[in-house]
Amino acid sequence: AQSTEFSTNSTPDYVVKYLPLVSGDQRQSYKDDFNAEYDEYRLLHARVESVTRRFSQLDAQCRKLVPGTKEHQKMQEEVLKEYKKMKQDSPNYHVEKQRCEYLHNKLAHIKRLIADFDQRRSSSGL
Amino acid sequence: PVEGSGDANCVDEILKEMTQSWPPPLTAIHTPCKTEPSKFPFPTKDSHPFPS
Repeated sequence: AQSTEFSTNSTPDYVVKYLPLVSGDQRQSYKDDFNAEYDEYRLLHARVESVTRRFSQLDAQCRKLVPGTKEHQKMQEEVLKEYKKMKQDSPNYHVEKQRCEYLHNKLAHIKRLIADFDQRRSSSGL
Repeated sequence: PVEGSGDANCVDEILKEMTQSWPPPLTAIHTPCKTEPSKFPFPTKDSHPFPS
């Protein structure tokens, strides 16, 4: 539903490259391109998702505690520790996340063009 | 960014950054092949047997 989180100011390359479909052959090639990057996308997506989930949990726990208390302090240290660990495990996390956002937008774009094409075809063809 | 004294701010920043909403993954393109749907080998059942 909400797919507007990822926005960029300049026109992305895939918008220039992938124009509305006009033929079935083209549809196949768009689909092949989609599939070629889909696995990488899912992998990156899952990784970012698990990191986001982990920090959301920590965030929720922090919010339950009163700032200034020992428990809160401890939770904050936990966050820092987790962050450092994440940095160590995946030093390229931010690059990967950006790559994933890019792929998300690109694949969504291709998918939308294919869906538009299918819709046009089915409403005119049958 | 002051080292040492800014731990709390730093944690807030981290949490803010790391909990940005993340959309659910795109699903694969599950697709209808080009010709299949229209090539129905037997008469469609959609047409009403009785004129209404």
